[in-house]
Amino acid sequence: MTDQKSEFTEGHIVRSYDAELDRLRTLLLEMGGLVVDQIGQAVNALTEKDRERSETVVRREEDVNRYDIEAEELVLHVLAKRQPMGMDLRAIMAITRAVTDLERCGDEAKKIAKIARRRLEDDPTVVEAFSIAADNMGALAAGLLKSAVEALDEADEEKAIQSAQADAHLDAEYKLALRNIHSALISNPSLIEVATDLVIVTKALERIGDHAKNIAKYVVFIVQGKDVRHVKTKALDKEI
Amino acid sequence: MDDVNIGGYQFMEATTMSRDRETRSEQGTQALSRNSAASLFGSERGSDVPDNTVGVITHDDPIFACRSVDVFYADKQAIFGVDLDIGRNQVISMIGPSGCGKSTFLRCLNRMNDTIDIARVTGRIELDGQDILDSKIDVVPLRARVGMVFQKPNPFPKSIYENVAYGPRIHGLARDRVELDEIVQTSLERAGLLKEVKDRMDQPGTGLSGGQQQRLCIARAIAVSPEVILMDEPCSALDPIATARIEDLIDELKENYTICIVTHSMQQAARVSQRTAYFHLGYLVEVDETDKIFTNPSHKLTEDYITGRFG
Repeated sequence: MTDQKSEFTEGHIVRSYDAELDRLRTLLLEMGGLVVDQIGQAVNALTEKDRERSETVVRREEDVNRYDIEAEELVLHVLAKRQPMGMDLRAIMAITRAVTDLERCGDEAKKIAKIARRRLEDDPTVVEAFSIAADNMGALAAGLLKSAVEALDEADEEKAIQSAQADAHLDAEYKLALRNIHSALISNPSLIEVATDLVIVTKALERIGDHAKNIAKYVVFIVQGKDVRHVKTKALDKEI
Repeated sequence: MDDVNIGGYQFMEATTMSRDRETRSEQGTQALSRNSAASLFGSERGSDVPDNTVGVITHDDPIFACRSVDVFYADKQAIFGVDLDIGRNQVISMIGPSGCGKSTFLRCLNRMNDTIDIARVTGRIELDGQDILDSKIDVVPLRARVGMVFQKPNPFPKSIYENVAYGPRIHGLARDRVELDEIVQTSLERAGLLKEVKDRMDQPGTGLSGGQQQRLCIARAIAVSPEVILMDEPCSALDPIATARIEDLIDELKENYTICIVTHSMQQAARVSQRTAYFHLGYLVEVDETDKIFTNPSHKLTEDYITGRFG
């Protein structure tokens, strides 16, 4: 953690306002780091059949929730005390929304970790068949989320749009994974139970990509004040 | 999970972060990193006074059209080339730091600057097409059309009734006592004060509370049927309850009057006005819809001022 400042947290005449916004920004980064790690750990717990990791993810979900609550309290406090305007207001709105998205990503990670715990006794060859898909999607989803949160912190529109658009790769991986699961089921219907769980895992990772995309879109709101949540991701370039 | 490169997009070792990095705590995670060099927020926008006012200076139905307005106090220029339309039956607020010229500009609109010997106003200020800076204009009827409410409530040392009746009487707006009574009643009613004072109309206006005195001054301004009411920080000497009453009153008055309000409270400007003008060092930097000014202003000086960054 560095103490580097951003233009949207510094420069207020009231220095304690700077400190509050900086705390909010730090909360976002800490929470982002934790959630990104939760996703990686949850996927690893599944693919490496690691009970300890799955337990860690489930336990740390409470930390994710604590960040969510702390951010909410801080935002409430800043709104009441400072009546933010202009870019402060936009940044606070965007971070509030981003925190909600991160919290949901945390829930998805926990979901994956619970499935990992359930699948510990599976035949290694069965799990391996799905590992590649989960691994690929996990890396993509966590990478997307990381880059979206960083883009938000840096108010970097280009980076944000790049990550929002990269969600298409995750969607492609998701469709591919579903097809593979279908094929595996056709040749071996007894895999139905593990396949169902794997569908849930891939769907969870695909959802994380959507949350990352949301976060990336908030960057455009911070920088330009434009609400692009419902603008097609492909058309985002035109917004900057 | 190593780095993957798909479609030219390089994904980092995000999911293995905690294994590769020094851990922060038992949580085993590290916050995402910051890149201050990339924090470009607002830095591309200039922080100098713009050559031309940013935003929309014109209005579809202007009651005032001001062009190239300069104000001098002796040799010192206080206002520089202000171009601004003021929309009919709208509330426009003027904000900016002390000494930015917002009150000076407001005082141009009913030639109150004439009362200052060394003040000189040039340019054009048209009230419904008529240039009010024309030396042939009689300021007395002008000030009846464009009334003013000041920062400190300043009722005359007379009864509540007389405070309101004075204007209509000297302007000959009432033929008889019945008509005058009616004007006083209506004005006090519109100013939201009638209920509180109807049983003590003959008592001195100075005996009212600060908020009531200010509403009495508003009633006094309304009594001469103005088209525009100028308000120079009308709530800065009032408590929050009295302020809320005045703001509620402004909301109602805009149905019938145009209101120009100078305020140091940005929240007040955001609450009561439809358009907001930001002044800085005598220049009109930006004017636009109030919603835009307070959520997404175009100029950095405006942004700095409304977010409390003005140094």
